[in-house]
Parts: sequence; C-alpha cells; structure tokens
Amino acid sequence: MLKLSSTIRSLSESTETGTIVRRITDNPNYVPALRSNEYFLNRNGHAVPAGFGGYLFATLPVEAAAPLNSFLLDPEVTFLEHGDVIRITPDRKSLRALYRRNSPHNSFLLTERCNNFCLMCSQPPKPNDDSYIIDQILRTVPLISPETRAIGLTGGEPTLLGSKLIDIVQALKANLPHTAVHMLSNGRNFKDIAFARTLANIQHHDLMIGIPLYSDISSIHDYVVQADGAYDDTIRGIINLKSLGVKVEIRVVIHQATYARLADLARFIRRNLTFVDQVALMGLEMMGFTKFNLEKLWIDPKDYQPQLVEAVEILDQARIRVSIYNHQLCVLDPRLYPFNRKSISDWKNEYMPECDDCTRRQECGGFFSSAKLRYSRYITPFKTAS
Amino acid sequence: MASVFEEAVAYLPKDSSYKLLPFRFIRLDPARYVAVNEVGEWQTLARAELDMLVHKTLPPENPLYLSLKSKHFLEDQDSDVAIDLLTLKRRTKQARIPQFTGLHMFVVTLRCNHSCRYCQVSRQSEDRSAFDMTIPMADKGLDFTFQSPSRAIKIEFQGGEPLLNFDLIKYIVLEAKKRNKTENRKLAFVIATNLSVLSDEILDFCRTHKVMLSTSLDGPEDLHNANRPNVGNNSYQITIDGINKARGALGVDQLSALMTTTSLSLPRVTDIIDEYLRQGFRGIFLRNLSPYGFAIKTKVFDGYSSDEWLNFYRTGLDYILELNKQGLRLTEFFTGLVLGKMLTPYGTGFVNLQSPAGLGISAVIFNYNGEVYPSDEARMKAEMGDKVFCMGNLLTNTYEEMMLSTALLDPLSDSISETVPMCEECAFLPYCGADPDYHYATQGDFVGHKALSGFCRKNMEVFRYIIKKMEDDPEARAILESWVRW
Amino acid sequence: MNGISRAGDEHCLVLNTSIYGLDAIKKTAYRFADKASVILQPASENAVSVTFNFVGKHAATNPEQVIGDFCNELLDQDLREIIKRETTPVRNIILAHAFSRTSLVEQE
Repeated sequence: MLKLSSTIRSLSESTETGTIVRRITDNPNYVPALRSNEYFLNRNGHAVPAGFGGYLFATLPVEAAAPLNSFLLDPEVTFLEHGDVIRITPDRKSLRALYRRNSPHNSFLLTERCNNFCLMCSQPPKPNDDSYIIDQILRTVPLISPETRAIGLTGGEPTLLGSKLIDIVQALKANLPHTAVHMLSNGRNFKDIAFARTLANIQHHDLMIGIPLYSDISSIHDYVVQADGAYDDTIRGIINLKSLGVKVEIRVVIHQATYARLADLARFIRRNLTFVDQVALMGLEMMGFTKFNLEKLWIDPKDYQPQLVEAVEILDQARIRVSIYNHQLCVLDPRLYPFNRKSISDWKNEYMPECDDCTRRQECGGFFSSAKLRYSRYITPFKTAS
Repeated sequence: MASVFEEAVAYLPKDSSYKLLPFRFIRLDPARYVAVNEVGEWQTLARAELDMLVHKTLPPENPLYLSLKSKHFLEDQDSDVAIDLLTLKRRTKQARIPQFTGLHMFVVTLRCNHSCRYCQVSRQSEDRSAFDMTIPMADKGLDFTFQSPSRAIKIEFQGGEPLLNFDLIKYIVLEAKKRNKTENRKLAFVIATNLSVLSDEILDFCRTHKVMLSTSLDGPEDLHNANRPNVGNNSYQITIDGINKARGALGVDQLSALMTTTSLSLPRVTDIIDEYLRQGFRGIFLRNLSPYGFAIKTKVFDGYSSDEWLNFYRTGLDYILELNKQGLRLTEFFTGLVLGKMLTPYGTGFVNLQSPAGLGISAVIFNYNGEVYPSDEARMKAEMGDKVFCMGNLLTNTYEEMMLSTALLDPLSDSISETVPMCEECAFLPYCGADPDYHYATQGDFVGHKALSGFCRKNMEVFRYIIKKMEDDPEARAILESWVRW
Repeated sequence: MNGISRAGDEHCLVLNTSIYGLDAIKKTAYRFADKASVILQPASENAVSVTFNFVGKHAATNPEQVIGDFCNELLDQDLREIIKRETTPVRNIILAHAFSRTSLVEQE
C-alpha cells in the first residue's frame, strides 16, 4: 500500500506561518514569474533552481546553505509528483499529499464527525472539531490541475459541515469546470429540503452523491448504521435530492446483515427509487469498525453469490446502472463480470499469495491491503485468460 | 471492552402494533388469496394470514410481515416514510394522464379489397369521394394532433385499406414533419395495412420517413384465409410476400404483425404461434375479439364465451413459456403489458388497460368523414349506426368543443374504476382498466355490471394466471420478468 | 343466526345484520348476479333474507356450492369493510398529494 504521508525535517527557516498548503513541481525551468507560488521537488541532488517558494529535497543538498523553506523528505517517499499538492504541519515535522495529479482517485476527507455509526465503518467517527480541514481544502482547490477527472468528498458525514460544504462544492465548480465531484453522504441531512436546495442551486456541472441504503426494512438499515430513524431520513434525503435534479448513487455494502434481503432491496429500489442514477454493490472492507464487528459481519463472498446475482438482474432489467466493487474475479459468479469494476484506489490495492500465477490479475482489482485480516477461502488463480 | 454497538433487536419497533396501508384482496385459487396495494404491488397469502393481517395479529416473526412492510401493506412504529413513497408511486402510475393524447389515428379511406369476417367498417367500393378523407380534414386533424401536450405523438393510418389512399398518407406525413420542425415532438408513424398494394414507391417513402407497417397475420394459411378472404387471391400468400418485401426494404424492426382471434382461431393457438415463429417474429399479441362491427351487424358474430378465449390464452402462454424454457426467445406482448403494471412503478400506454379509460385522453381517431371518436371501437359503433361516442367533426367543431363534449366526458367519468361497483374493491384494479365502449356494446351502458362482463371475467383470470405462474414456477417467472419493457 | 331453507327452485338464507353488515350483504349479492337471481328482503328487525333463484341460465349450477361461495364472499366483504374503515383517510391523503400540482416535497 502506497503511503501518502511522511515525516520531514526542516532544513532552513520557514517564512510561512501555520499549515503550509502548496503545489509542487519538478520542473527546474518552471516559469520564473510563477515560481514563488510553487515548491520545488529536488530529487537528484542537482543544482537547485532559484526563485521557488520552497524546496523538498529527497537527499541532503550539496550546497552549504539550503534556500528558505527547505525540507528533507523521508527516504521512503516515492509518491510525490509534479502537480501534487502537499500539506506540511505547523510543527514542520510531517507532510502529506492532499492531492495527487496522476491519481485517478483523489478525495478529500471533510470531517471525521458523523451522525451514523455504521458497524463496518472504514473511517470511524470522531467527535472532535476538525473544521480546520475546511480551510486546507479551500486552499487546495485552486491548486488542483484542471484536467483532473474527478474529486471525491468523504468523511465522516460531509453534510455536517452545513454551509461550509456548500462553499467547498461551489469552489470546486468555480475552479474546476471539467471535474466531476462524487460525494459520499448518508443523505440524512438532505431531508431538509432547504439544505438540499442550496446544494442543487450551485448547479454543479457533474455532481453525484453516493448514499448507502442497506435494506428495504427500516429496522435492519438502522441496525447496520446504528442510528434510530436513519432509514427514514436517508430515504427522504434521496427523494429530495432527486426532486431537485441532483444525481444520486445508492451504495450497498454486502455482509451478514445485508446479504439475505439483497434481492428484496433491489426490488424495493426498482419500485420506489427507480429514479436513482446508479447502484453500487460493494464488498466489505476490513478496516475500521469492521475488525471489531467481524463476527457479526463476515460472510464469504462466494456464499452470497446467488443473492448478488438476483439483485443485479433485478436492477439491470430495469436498466438501472449497476456496478460491483471490491470483489475478486474468482469469487464472483461469471454472470456478474460485466458489472464488476476494478476500483480499489491505487494506494490501497494488493494481492494474496494465491494470486501469484493468476492470468487475470490485471483485470481483477485484487484486495485492500486490510483484507489480509480475512478473505474468501475460494481465492483461486485463473489458469488461462479468457 | 463493552460493546458500543447495539444488537439488531435494539432497532426493532417498540411494540408489535402496526397500521394498515390501503390495499385490496381477492381469492387467487382454492389455497390462496392475493393482496394488492394501491400501486399494484402484490403479496399472496393464506386466508388465515389475511385475517391475521387485517385484525392486527400478524406477528413480526412471521416471514410475511417483512414482505408486507417492504411492499407498503403495513406501517409500524419504526418508520413513517411509506406514505411519501406510496404518493410518489401513485403519481408515477398516473403520469400518463397529464402527458395526454399520444395516439392519433387517421382513417384515410374506408375502401378495402378484403372481406375479413370480423371487419367492422370496410366498404368494397371504388368511390373515393364517398369514402376517402379529404385534405382539409387531414389539415384539421393535424391541428388537433398538435394541440396535445404529449411529447410523443404517434400517427397511425387506418382504413379500410389505408394504402389505397396513399397520396393522403404522404401528405399527412410530410405535413406533420413540417410542423414538427417547430413543435419538436417525438413523432412516430405507422400504417395498419394488409400489404396487398405494397409498391416500391410506397416502400421508398416509408423507408425515407421511417414509417412503420403493422399487418394482420391470423395464423397458418388455412386459418388466415378463412378469416380474411380476398376474392380471387390467396390472402395469406399476399401477407407473407408483403412481410418479406417490407422487411427487406425497411428492416425487420419496422414491420409488426397482429393476430385477431375468431372462433376458428380458438382451437389453433399453437399453430398460430408456430406460424409467427416461421415468419420470423419473436413476439405475438394474443388478442381477443371486440364484440361489434360488421360481425354483429351481419349476425356472423363469433359468439365465443370468455372461457373459451381463456383456454386459448392459457394454452398459448404455456406453449410460449415452454418454448422459452427450451431456449427460444419469444414474447407474448399482452402478458408483457400486464407485467409492466405488476412489476414496474409505471402505468401503461395500452388503452384497453387504463382507468380513466384511454378514450380521447390517450387516443383519438379521425374518421374518413371528419368525425372524431375517442377510440377505434367507438368509431365502429358509429358505423353500426350508433354515434353515442361522436365527439364532433374536424370541419365544424373546435378542439375544446370536442375534448370537452359530453360524448367524451360521460363515458370517461362514469367508468372510472375506483368509482364503480365491484371494480372499486377489486384487488386487480391497478392492473385492469375501464372499457366503456365494450360495456356499451354488450350491456348498453358505459359501466356495465361486472359480474356479467366478459371483459372483467377475462381480465381477472388472466391476472390470476400470471400471478400464479410467477409464484409457482421460478423458471417461468424469470422469463416473464424479461418481457417487461422498462 | 342463519340457516338455509328451500322452497321449490328458491333457496333462502337468513342473515343476522348485527353480524353481517347490510352493505356487505348487498355487495355480495351484486357479485353473484351471474350465478343466481338474488333477492334481498327484510326478515325481522335484525335479519335479512337472501333468496337465491336458480332458473334459466342458472339452472345448471350447484346451489349448495353457490350458497357456500356466497357465505365465504360475505366474510371477505366483512374484511374489506375493516380495511376500508382504517385505510380510507390515508388513501385520501395519498391521492390528494399524488394528484396535486405542487411538488410532493413542498408539503413539509
């Protein structure tokens, strides 16, 4: 798994105060007039070009005195590239990539607070005030490369930011007119039509909200998200968003509490929420709360294939776009291959020892590295590519 | 560490009380009842379970409970979003009403060169002035057509044999397309024809302007010719030759065929289906015969009972399902339409299964003499001498006068299923429709006594048969579900 | 209390109206128009007599079967009354919203 953060060491005086948010470049001939805004990534110990706002060194510089705002990177760091946006903490001891230009999966964690408490939450909620994140994001957005295909907004629960969320989406629209935005939200706060309307009124050119719905039955959904009344709120949120023309994706994580009624949920969606833009059926991530609740949640994906096939057929028949995520090809029923998306973020995916000789490794998304904790006992390499 | 997570039981409703949401029920077969909610979602159950459900003693542990909750038959303490969703679904079911009239039929001539047994209207005549629609009527007809707010407009040419007045068809198509440059509707054209006068010129025109053809194929040669004689010719052969010629010129998806059922057809359903397969069709519509027209007037009405037709339908459907199980893809369209009402949140565009009836608000027909009727059957009634359904005349009445005429509004409002005895409490109401013209023809009023209605009897048995298939035969269910047009 | 008596072609059933509502009886009688001629008459203060006549096109039917079905249908009608009483208000709300011009969500 790719690390996105690193320790660093200050090599010279820092002229900035507080958190540093800057874009980096490795181009020594960068336009001189604009250099003061960028930090230079010096990889190979050559002559240091002058005029940049700051410097990141992979190895100690040969010059006696490093320029202002210089930092030494950890030797392990290989992930930084031209166009990335980095954040350096006020104590100047750690660096993180907030945005990676070459990654197809950039997303911003907007807050760790949440009003649900899902049994399988991969980003367990924390009640702290983390509103400082918003400022960092608003500073990052203008630095993002305009060719970026998509930006994700995640949490916690993004809508807890209230009007600040609207500011962020507005900034994304204003700065990145060709970039899609995919927000993950439980949808509950959109039961307030006025709030939903402020989001819709931004008229973002390509915004989709991914909203989990775990059952056709309220008590089962509420159990999975550990919040009474969540189902009703979520449904109302979905209806409001769609009535205002905002795109909605319904997401379902498949585990012990959700697999049995998966087909019923598919029928429910098809009958009651036909207007959703797509449905994503996802495999369980072994992160966060999942580890704690593993015995309640774990079911071998091979064992729920019949339910999954039925659910997909129900939705596909109604021509609702269906995608399957986080499953390995060898445990999926072949009828589901057309719906399977290779999607594990590049900084998360790995393969198991059983996968060594598999001829379809590339096609298959592999695993989250966290899957080492538990994965299907049916993992089998494909012998011939077909 | 004590768990901060609650068990599933903590999220169950505080007590087992629940409220009923609107639904109707009916006996399905000796062992089961079927309950159907306001928007056509259904649940089969035993009579005893129905009793428990209604008397509020159905326990949450009963497997039926969750199914009924999911399908909005009941609502418990846990959730109150059912009404929002039912409202959305109800609105969706009736969404076609504000869309308004889509199908506009132009009877361009009554002249015909066939003498089909069941024909309602045609004349063996060469007299164009007596039996052809005129251009001023056609223009008014197009005025009327574009008054409809519907985004999708279908213009269908009827007769007689419409191709005998091909010049007028050309005029109407070109004129409609010209107007559509500003109207910007989704326009479709279809000609209902026996294909006997299909010239290259006609085919060229149809290809250029994407005009579809719909023909009659009643079954194998002997049956087809017995139903549809064409003196001195083999009507069947003409039809087959026409089908092949049209397909070659226009494409296989531009030509469709409809069968009509007569007493001669009733014992021959598998032969008819085989004929459709032989001719390369992958779908068939098992129709029943409307009880009027030339047939009644000439007293050769094929008075078969609903039960005989039901045998025809069941045998046909079983045969088609069997063929599908063996790997052949063949759809029965009538069943597909009913399934659409059962399985989707949408209503139907099929005029015979609409309430309020499709009269006028879904379809309208302009007769060769300018008279306007709200359905083809209504026009036929007029040809038999009873103009009860005549809305007016294109040449002398305005759109408002015709659409607001009592001739249209009375049958529409009198026959709304929710307001009519037996229908209003019938479980199958969401699947069925009002058929004022059928009941007027058979019983003399727009509503009819449904216990005596062949329309009612046939529909109820069809719905029962389809539901039982879905419940009892999973393989058949998968096939049936694939016939739904979403 | 009910019982079936017979006089010639006529079969008569007496129903207690404190058990079977009059509307339910009428609706059931209406439904059976194709199976028999059905005539309703008051029998006493709390009773209605239902007379079935199987003549003409109904002559071939099995009277016991028809009357048995009639009684079953009566019970079904009773259930329908209960459902209707409880669900009519909700149904009216659903229809009012479904057919209103304003957006569903604006009702909040």
